[in-house]
Amino acid sequence: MGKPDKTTSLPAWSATRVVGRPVPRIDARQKVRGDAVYTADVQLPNMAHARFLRSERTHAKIVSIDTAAASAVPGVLAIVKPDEWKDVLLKDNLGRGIPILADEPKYAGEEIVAVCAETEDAAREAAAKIRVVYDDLPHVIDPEEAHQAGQFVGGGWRKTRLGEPAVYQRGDARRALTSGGRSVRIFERTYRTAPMTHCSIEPHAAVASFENGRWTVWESTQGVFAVRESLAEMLGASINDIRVIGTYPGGGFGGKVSAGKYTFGAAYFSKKFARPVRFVQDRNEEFVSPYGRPASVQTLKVGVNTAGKLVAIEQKGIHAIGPYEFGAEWGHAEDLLTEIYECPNVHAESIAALTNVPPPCAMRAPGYAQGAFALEQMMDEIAAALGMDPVEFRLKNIPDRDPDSKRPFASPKGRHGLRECLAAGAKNFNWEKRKRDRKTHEDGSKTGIGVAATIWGGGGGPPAAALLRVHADATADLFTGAADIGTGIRTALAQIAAEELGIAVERIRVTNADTDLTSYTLPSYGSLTLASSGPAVRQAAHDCRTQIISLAAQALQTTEDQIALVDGYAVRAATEEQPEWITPIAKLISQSPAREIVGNGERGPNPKLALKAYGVQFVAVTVDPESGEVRVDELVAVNDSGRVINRMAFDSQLIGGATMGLGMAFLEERSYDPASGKLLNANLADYKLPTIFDQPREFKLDRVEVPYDANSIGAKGLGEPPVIPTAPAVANAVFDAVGARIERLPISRKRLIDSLMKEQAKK
Amino acid sequence: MSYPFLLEKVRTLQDASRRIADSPGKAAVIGGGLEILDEVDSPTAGSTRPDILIPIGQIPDTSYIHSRGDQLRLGAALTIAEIAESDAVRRLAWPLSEAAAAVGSPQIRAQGTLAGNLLQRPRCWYLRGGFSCHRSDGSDCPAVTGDHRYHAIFDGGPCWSVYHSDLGLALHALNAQLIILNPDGKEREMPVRDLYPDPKKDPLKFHTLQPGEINREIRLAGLSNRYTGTFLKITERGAFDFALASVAVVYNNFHGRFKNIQLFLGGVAPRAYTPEAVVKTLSHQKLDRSLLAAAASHAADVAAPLPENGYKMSIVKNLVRRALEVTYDKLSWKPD
Ligand SMILES: Cc1cc2nc3c(=O)[nH]c(=O)nc-3n(C[C@H](O)[C@H](O)[C@H](O)COP(=O)(O)OP(=O)(O)OC[C@H]3O[C@@H](n4cnc5c(N)ncnc54)[C@H](O)[C@@H]3O)c2cc1C
Repeated sequence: MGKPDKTTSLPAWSATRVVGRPVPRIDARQKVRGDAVYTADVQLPNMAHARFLRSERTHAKIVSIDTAAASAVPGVLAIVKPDEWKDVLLKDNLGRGIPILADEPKYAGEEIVAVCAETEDAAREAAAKIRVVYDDLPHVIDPEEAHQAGQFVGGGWRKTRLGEPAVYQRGDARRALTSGGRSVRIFERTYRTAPMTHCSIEPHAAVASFENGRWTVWESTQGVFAVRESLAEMLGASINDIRVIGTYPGGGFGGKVSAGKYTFGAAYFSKKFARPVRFVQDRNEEFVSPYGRPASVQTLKVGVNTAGKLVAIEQKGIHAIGPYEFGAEWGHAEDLLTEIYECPNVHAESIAALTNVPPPCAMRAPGYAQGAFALEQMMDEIAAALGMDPVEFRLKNIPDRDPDSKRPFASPKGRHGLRECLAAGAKNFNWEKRKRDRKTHEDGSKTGIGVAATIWGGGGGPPAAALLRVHADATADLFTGAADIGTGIRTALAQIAAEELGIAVERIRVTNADTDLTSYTLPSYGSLTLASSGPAVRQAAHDCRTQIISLAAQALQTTEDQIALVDGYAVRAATEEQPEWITPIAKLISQSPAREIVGNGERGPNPKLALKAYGVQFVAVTVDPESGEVRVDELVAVNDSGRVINRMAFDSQLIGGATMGLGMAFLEERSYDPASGKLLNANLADYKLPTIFDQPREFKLDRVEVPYDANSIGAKGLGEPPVIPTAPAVANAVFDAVGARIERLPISRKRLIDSLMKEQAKK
Repeated sequence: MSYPFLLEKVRTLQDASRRIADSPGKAAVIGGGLEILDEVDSPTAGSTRPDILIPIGQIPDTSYIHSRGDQLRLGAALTIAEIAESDAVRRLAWPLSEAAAAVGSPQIRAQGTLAGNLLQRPRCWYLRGGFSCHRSDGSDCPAVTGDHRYHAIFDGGPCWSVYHSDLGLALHALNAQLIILNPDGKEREMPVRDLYPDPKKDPLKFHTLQPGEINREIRLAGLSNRYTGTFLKITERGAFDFALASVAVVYNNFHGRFKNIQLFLGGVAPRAYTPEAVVKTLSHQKLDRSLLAAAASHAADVAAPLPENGYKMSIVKNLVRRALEVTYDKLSWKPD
């Protein structure tokens, strides 16, 4: 273990010139002009094409697979049935495997046969000509039904036996809820969130080529090293037999953290036929392969005392995690409630229900987004019942150390990111004034406002490393393993290097996410990339800086502490005795013995503190109770992600996150036909992603930069936090407008009208 | 990427018509291809996959907008965008113009054609999802016991799919006529209202064109300034979406009274649907804004929803009220 990152002897930046600026992405031009080559775009000479045949049935035994007609399609190279690959397993984070091809498919769309052909059309036609005889078996889609039947394991990171939930516990929630007497008020409600699909603009895709005993794999991925490890295991190959390149993934959102079945398929066929193979899923397949946010059913029971302090939280979350235990780690939603507010007694059960739907994976803020929909509405409900302002109620319950680990926060005494976000958000939104002017318009529509908060880890950490080479003309090459999944991390890292080197961002070329050229780094997930790779880059750049300064001190005949690196020059400031003296960095390097300066950086471990990022969203809505239409008039987002490295990218994360949150709030839901278990909306017309017109009329974005010194760049994660509070903030605003609690996502026209009817029937 | 098919160019609509009649089930015209390429890729149960496609847009004189007097003639291969942008359409048939602007997204409007929009298959996720159903092979409608949140609340059963052409709905209210060319080179005229067979009687057919018949033109009488009308739809999302319910309405001010009310609902019945109670309540009444809400409240009187789509009744009432109020406020003369 290395030294804590804090002690890499790099003090926090005081004034910055590049860091903190809104810098356009270094690859914006390539992306906009279509010059950036994504995996699905890779075309190699003599390339063959592969695809899967997927199960037509939700759960069935395969009786026979007839490939005669398919084999006769011109151009078909291979048709692989389940037994040929039966020893190959795709594994989840806890090592639980599923077969690449199933001989007893357990969800509609599960991969059963793989086809490789000369052309994509031939592969498609051959797949369509394979005749499969199925023997249907019973299926379960509803996670509650599976739970009742005892078909579940523990969700989250604790493995359990069949029929046993994973339990998180501190204090004694049951006792606190039963023995509090009249001084404890109890609130209970069940919330449901919908199963969702990432819908990255680029589908899951791999292109593999096998030459000289070695694979080169282009993969649309969040983590080239994770793909390499997993693929090596599936192929039974050594790690250095494989090179994975993932410079431009077209989105990931948690769905592309490791190799897929298609990756194995591409690699397998490329070796078998000694030619490149392209394996790209189509849009329909994106909805039925093992990815997505699982459906959840969460029952919350919360006790609060007369002073407005949370006393106990009991939560039971049932999550639809597919037919295998594979992916059960994503069947949980308790994290947020264990750590956001002070609460001495917590009991949370995570139940990963075995259902005949595709297994889930991480999806932007896994667990937290579902958990917030329940907890943050509950907070609103309690505040109203206590006659308290929901902002004030949250402020009252802010902890002074991490309620789970009991560690102190990595922030100066007396400061707390959530408190500052709430204060800034309330101000930017004009909360106090708006609380008083709710309206019913002439057409019967009503206005409402709502707020919700979030917490997220995002402290980052090792492993992450960087290498920087500064050349004799003062341009530089930065090598980093980090994938840029659309967040702009390549730009942020270039900014950090530029800051240290005193050269312009444009002079730094970033080579990233290539297992041959860059060193080991975790995938870009968990909002950890900047906080992991940023300090490594800073250290590498600082290493170069020290060497340049030393050259300058020699050349300028002064001590190193007199030298600054600014705009491509080494500068010794003027003093009373001497005038300013300046020399180009390029000159220093070109005259140096090595003709280039090389720096290395490695991320050290974090200090033993609670590393948390925060955020809030305030929204104003107009609801038409007859048509069920909801318009989001304004959305105020404020986040604490420590030091903002690139203000433009910061704003983009907030806009993108909140927009995705609005999709979750209003639109997105995989709809399964109950009788057949088939997905009814496996396309982008029927599975509705938000459009520009579904965004708020106005976004107001802001940051609070609570000083954070757990790493040398002072930054923490921002990728996931902005998606978390949106749905509950909207639900709270809808409640404020029309008085109906939204217990189920998405808040479609139907759900809203149905909720209002239910409310009316109660009265 | 899709199955191979042949794109065949012909010189005249007549040639196209004959080619299709000569190769039954094998050839079809293609407008924008939004619909037919979908079908070629993932055929619905029971459909035949054409493998010769004849692009109608490449045949001369198929995309035009002619207005003479109050007559409007629209070439069937016009794109939806061309209709949305046309001044003549806006002036003479603004509900059609509004409907065109409400279709999908700019991309869909730029690609989809007028005839193609009218001839889209019902957008039922069972029918399109390859399930066997009443319209594919005469079996029971799976939506009844399935997920029918988007299905019909009027006239449902045995098919519960809904009518979804925005242009078509406006053309119902405008009482437009289709000019149809048949393989013998003859033409016939048919009201758009007769284009769709009753699925109760003829479940396996989606339109009443005979094999080889081509829709050449749409004709309609423009609205004079005594008329008012509109098209509105309520969707789940802000754009790029089909109607949960839509409405097209046209009526005139006849000596201070509501007259000739053409009111059609989309998204709520297997075909465009007229809520008669609303029409009856208003017809021949003196123009009076205060009557509108009460009339609209009858819009769902005879609805017979399935267990999970009753919410559409609320939407329909709201939509009809809005449409009546918008149109009323646009009348060039009104008493109040
Ligand atoms: C994502 C999405 C969103 C959409 N949203 C909407 C919406 O909001 N509102 C709406 O109304 N529609 C909507 N649509 C439907 C869309 O408008 C239609 O698919 C489109 O108009 C079809 O036109 P086309 O020219 O592409 O048809 P094509 O696919 O070319 O043709 C459709 C059918 O009509 C036949 N055909 C075409 N022209 C003729 C002719 N002249 N004579 C005889 N037969 C002909 C073809 O053979 C084929 O069977 C949407 C579609 C998509 C994919």
